[in-house]
Amino acid sequence: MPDPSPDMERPPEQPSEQPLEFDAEAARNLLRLALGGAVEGSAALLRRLEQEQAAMRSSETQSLGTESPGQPSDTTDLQRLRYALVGLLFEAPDAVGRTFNVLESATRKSAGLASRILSPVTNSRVARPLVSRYDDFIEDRLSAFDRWVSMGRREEQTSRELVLRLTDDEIDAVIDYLAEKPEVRGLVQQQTTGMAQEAVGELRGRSVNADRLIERVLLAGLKRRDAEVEPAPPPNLPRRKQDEGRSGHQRAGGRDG
Amino acid sequence: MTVTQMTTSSATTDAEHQPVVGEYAGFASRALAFIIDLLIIVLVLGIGLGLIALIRWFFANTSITTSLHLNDALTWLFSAATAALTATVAVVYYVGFWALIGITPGKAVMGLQILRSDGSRMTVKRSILRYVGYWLSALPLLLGFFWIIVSRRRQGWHDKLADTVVIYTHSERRAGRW
Repeated sequence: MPDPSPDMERPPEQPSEQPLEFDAEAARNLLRLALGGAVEGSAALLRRLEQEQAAMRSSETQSLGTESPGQPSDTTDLQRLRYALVGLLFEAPDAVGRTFNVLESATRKSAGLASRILSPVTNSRVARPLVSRYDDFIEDRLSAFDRWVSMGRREEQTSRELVLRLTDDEIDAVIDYLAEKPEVRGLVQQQTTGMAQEAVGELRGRSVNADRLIERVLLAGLKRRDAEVEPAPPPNLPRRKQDEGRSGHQRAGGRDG
Repeated sequence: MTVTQMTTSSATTDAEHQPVVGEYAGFASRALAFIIDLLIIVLVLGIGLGLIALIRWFFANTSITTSLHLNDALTWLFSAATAALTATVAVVYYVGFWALIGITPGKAVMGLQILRSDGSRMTVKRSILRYVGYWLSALPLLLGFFWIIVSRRRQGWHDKLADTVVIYTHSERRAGRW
């Protein structure tokens, strides 16, 4: 088997793959972002929900004052079943809470009972090392739990601030972008001009109608039959005016009264 | 409904939708234009009088003017300036705008233009005459202005005096009464 010559072209060396390093800080930041978004978003949603519920309650109170007491007569069995299910769904949290209370009380009582029953064993010299190790384990877990609590409190606050700051910055950036975009500026200007033109057009149109109305009323009061007759415009009007207004002119002849 | 009635009704509706440009302007449009002009004049006058009052406050009754015995002269001077400004703002406003472009800002907003009755443009002389006519129209309880309603060419007394007419320059016309 011939040896490969040193001049022989070798395929370009593949860049050696760098081992992926776990960027803990980036992960922490992402976690903060997710946590802050969730907390802030849910808080905003809850605030909105409470407002809506308060509004609904007030409207319900008002409507109850006007409605006649008793169940509506047109409720069918199927509807009643549906309402019962919905009611059950809304009663479920209370029922679950009550069940948890009962369970917690039962657990505490049974633990106390078991502790009293097993106290001769746990207090014995043989079981003392085991009990001591168990107590150490519990102590360690409790301290870890306290550490998590303090870290969670701190991190949640940081995450919320981070998300709020990011949101504000992004909104400002979007507004700046829109304000600098010529199309958007043109659109806003066009809209403003259009609205002003529309308002002036409306004013002019209404004033023309008011002109007609005043004349009709007054001339009818004066019993002038030729109230509607309008003489032709001046003969030497500027060309632009005549061209634009040719269709609107009444050619009844001009005699001033 | 007879055929004649239907034809008449249709013609009336068509007339209401036709553009009004070039027709003689009516009382309400002109009154609104007049009010807009008055508001502008009052605004300009207010700013001018405010400036005069400010200058007067700055100079009058200071130690210098008191020592030079100029307070009476300054009072007279500023009173004269106030009177001159009050008297001239309206004249300059109306005569200037009429003679230069044939419209005032108020009339521009309402889409109106002043022309001589033969269709030619306004002159300074006609503008001054028309302004004098304003006062003549206003003196007998504004009767000269209300004359616009009964005039066949919708001329007030000031228009008759200056031989002018006011026409619409816009094409707005709404259907219905209002």
